[in-house]
Amino acid sequence: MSTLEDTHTGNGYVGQSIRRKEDPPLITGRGRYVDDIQLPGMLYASIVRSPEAHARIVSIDKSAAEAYDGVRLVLTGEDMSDLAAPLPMAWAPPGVEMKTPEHWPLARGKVCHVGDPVAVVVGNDKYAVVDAAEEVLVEYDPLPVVVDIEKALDEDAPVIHEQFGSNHSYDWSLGGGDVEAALAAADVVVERRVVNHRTAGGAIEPRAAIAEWRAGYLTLYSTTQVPHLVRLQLAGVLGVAEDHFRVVAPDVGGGFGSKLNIYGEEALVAYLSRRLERPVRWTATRSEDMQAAVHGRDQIDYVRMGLTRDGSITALHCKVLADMGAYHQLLTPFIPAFTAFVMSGCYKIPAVQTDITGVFTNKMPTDAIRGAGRPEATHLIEVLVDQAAYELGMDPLELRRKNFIPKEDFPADVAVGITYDSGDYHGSLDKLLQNLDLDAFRREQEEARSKGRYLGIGFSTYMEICGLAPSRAVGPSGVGIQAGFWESAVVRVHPSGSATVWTGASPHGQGHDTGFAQIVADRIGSTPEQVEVVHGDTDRGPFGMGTYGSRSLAVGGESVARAALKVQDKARKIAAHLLEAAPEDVELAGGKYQVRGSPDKGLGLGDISLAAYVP
Amino acid sequence: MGASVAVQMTVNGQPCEDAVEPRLLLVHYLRDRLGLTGTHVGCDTTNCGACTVHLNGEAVKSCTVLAVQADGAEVKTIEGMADGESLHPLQEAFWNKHGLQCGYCTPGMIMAAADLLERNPDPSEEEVRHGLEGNLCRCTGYHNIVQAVLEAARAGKAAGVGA
Repeated sequence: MSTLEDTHTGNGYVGQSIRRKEDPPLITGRGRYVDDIQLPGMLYASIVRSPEAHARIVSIDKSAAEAYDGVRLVLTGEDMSDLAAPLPMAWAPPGVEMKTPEHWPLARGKVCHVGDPVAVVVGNDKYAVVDAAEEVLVEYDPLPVVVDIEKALDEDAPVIHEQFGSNHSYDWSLGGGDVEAALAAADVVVERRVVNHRTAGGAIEPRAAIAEWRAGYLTLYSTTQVPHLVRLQLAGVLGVAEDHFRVVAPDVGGGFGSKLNIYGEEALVAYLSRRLERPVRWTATRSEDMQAAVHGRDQIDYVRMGLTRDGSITALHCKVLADMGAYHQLLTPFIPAFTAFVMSGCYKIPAVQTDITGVFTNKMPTDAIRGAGRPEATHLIEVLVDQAAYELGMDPLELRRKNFIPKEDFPADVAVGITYDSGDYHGSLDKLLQNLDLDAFRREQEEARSKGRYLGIGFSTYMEICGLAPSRAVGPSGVGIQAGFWESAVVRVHPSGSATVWTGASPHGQGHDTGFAQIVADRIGSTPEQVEVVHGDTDRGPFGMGTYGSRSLAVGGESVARAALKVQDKARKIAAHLLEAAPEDVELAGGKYQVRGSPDKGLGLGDISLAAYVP
Repeated sequence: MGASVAVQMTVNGQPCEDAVEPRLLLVHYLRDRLGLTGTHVGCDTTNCGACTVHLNGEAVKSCTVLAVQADGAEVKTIEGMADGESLHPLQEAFWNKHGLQCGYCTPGMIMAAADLLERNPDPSEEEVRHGLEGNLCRCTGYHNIVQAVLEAARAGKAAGVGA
């Protein structure tokens, strides 16, 4: 077994800026996104969505829609009572009471947010099903609506999920040190209510899904970042065995977290295809995507920061009110926990505490969007640091410098209970200032101000947890997400010497085809052109966790590198046999396998692989 | 559903005739009838520009053009930009300059940029940014897109032709 420290000695492709392997189809209009896929006999689905934020469904009259030309089927939530399970939520932190309401692809009995799906119309013409969907007559009995997370917790607030008795979803805390004592002892306490507004992922490709049920085997094409997780979870929702279920993420037009989920529409088209034995496609319009793809952020944070008079931060407390929206999607309640994990920021703060309360409102559920909880922490920390500098009469940069974790402290244990492996925050700031003519900006600011124009100059630092892994930290025995946080890879060399790499990561613009090909080419003595990277298909590669949280290169790339090194080991043994040398004397240098010191008799990968397949 | 209307147009040099619903959008005609799926729908509302094609030589957003409005017209889509194996200078430049990530906005960007360079073969960076303001890239790759268009303009100038 090779050690990871540097047994790869290929051609140095890693680090080179090469043209992307995935680009030629994309720049010539030959990409393959979900909505580009046409299957024989395909039907189209149009979803009737609630215009009410909170209402009882009194009645649904499908008759006019059913009579529409070309319409095959109209279904409501009640018509789908044979679904095996509701949509999943995957965070189960040990010892925490989590209130997760049942969430079905089509609403049952009541709607809880604008856009909540109420019925679906399926037919053979994609314009006609939209017409017919407008003919589905839904009678709503509107209920009082709650959209403000603070008011949602009032005693007399309308309750969205009656079975819970309130709109409270869960409480969860993380911290270290005695924050209240430190705040009591502080010379100065800076306080602020920080509102982090709701946002949408807004990938340029709206979500879409096609299901094809054929002879007991289900294929689902979906705009997803996590095809293997979709298969695992939907197998449970639909009651389908994983070995009879294939999920494909073809080219995916951006995600930013909005496609890191298990969505009702994916279950819906699969259900419909099974029922009708025809392929069924649903594609969101942009307006629909804004209502039907998870949103992000939406926190109100009550922050208190304690400092000494000379500017040392001694305590930070944050009470997070987090808007879950109307339901828990895959990781909805977990996202604010991310805020807590990075609450120390770049600073040495002895006592830090975050108390989170999740709250239901009549809005689309929130989940992982662009940074997912971490930018929220950065925002509130940095706003408070600036406010503290103002109140203490200190230069904001000086205050930051004073509290940065010093270089010599790394690896640094921070109060929230994690260890930062490395860092040089003073050095980074020095470098920034070297590259930035701050004085010139100040002069420009003064000049502008003399003309009545206000120009702001601000600084922000941040520390984020990225590359979600390993399982012991993030998984069930760590913070409680019910998944593994490893990544998988298979590297296979073909007889003629080209290679295929299968990865469990699933890109949507990140460039895995190129980056992973560079990694593998260097390690097996090949070129990126000769290494094909395959992803996003549960039938073609091993189970994997998908692409999100800046994890693909850090975790997926590492698994690809390790798999490639195993191939290199094997190639060295075969080369040794062919060269009549000992395996330990064979090295990979400049893309050739050769006996150390005898470069003239080196073998290419193709020579070795052909000999292996055809001895 | 209205009665079908006959349309004929030339798409990427190929003549085609069809009977379409009067309300059929040009983008759906191109994608669903002709199989030219390189033209994407991102917003349905003329905001994002992913569906940009050329109609009689001018860039239009095909999600808000009816197929019947293209009757008798010359239409060019992203699939018609390369000359056989030889990429259009803009395609080459988008590849060279990493002008795309997920690739979904790319066809529309290239078609809009081609129209821009046709009208202004030697644009400044500001003119490129202004010229592409009707096209959105959610991967936030505008910097490299602008660099790609400028490179294509330089290549076009070097070749002595408009891009």
